[in-house]
Amino acid sequence: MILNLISLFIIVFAALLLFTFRLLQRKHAPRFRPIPAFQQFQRALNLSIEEGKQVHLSLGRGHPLMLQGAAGFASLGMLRHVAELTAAGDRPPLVTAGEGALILLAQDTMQSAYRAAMAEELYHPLTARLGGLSPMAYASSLLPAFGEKHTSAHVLMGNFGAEVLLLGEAAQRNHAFFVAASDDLSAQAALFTLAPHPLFGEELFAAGAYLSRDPAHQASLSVQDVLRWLLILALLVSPLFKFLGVF
Amino acid sequence: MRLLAAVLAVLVAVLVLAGTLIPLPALVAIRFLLLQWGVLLAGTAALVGFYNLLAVHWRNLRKGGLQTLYSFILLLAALATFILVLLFGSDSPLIHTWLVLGIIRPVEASLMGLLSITLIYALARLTRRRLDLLTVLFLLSAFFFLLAMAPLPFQIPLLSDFLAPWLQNVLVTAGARGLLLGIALGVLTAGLRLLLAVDRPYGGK
Repeated sequence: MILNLISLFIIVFAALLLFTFRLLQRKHAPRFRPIPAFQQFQRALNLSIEEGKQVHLSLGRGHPLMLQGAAGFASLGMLRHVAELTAAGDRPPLVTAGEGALILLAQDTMQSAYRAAMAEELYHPLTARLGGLSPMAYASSLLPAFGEKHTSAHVLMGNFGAEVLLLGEAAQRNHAFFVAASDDLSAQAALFTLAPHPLFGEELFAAGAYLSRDPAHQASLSVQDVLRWLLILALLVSPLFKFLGVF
Repeated sequence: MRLLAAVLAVLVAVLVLAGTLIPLPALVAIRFLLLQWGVLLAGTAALVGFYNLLAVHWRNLRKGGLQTLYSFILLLAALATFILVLLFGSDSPLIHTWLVLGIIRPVEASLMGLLSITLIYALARLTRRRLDLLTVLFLLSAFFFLLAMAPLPFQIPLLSDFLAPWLQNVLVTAGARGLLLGIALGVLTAGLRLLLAVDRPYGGK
């Protein structure tokens, strides 16, 4: 019961913080530390558009009803940004996911991005494709996309396991830009060996704030920062309280 | 329509959250019912995804080119599996023996083998690509753990009985917890954006 109350308090507190930051940031845009992976991705995206090449975005296998679904939702924000920028380009972005529900959400997100870019007639639902449903089947279903010469950038954001390494190797063999982030620790370790600028931990959830500069995403990143400091404080203070016999 | 979708999504999210955190029988019952509907919808979404898979490969087949053969094999295998599972059920011994143990597991095992070789190759190249403090720490810890966990006929003094357990229980666990706490904060704020209808990946925003 106490744990439930603490959870409820954290959620309400975070929601209030989100509202407050949203209001505050209407006047002053926040400044975040630079993350090289996002800077390079933006550059690769611009180059792809200029060269008339395709961007491949993989949303992972996060089931919306499971905890991993949050990683999939975070990657949909990135999809919106990519689709809006490339909508009127020579080649539409290719989107892959390992979950049926994620594909439906990706199609909806892409359609609205095309509508916002006033290019809805160019939208085709089959640019969002389902890959394999198990980790290895998903990785192997993506491999043909990594062999395409007209694809210049591969972005993997979502729930992936260590099998993401096979995809990264394939991207590097074809000299394509590759950036990946996962909520899975084994995937993060595997990506450390491969990516020039690896993304760790919660950086997966920062993509929307860094790339699209959406105020809501920026506010939620500020909330994450505040909560992180409070968590650090709690971790430092709790042993002291224990030592003093408070609890 | 967009407003209705947003209102429905927020209402369902609030009810499920309330049913999880407030142990009132009525709320718990509503949460259970909504989750059951959610599972049904997820199943339907999986079917739509399956249709999407077939449609993509049917288009490849009609277009011709290099992918035609692969798409043909995939369509054949997908439809055969779908029909077999419909006829015999997913837990029948036939499906388990022929499809799971006979085809899926061996292929996945060979891919796992390939993955371990790729990992060693990537580790070897890491020193050339990015030689900094993090890389050195990563390589040292990988080396120590491989040495400590390898099925050797003897124990390595200090490493097996002190250093490896200490690294595992203190440094690695602390690091993993730090990363997981960061991910949990990310999940929390992503969930809140959905709960407050700030992010609407359905119905147009």
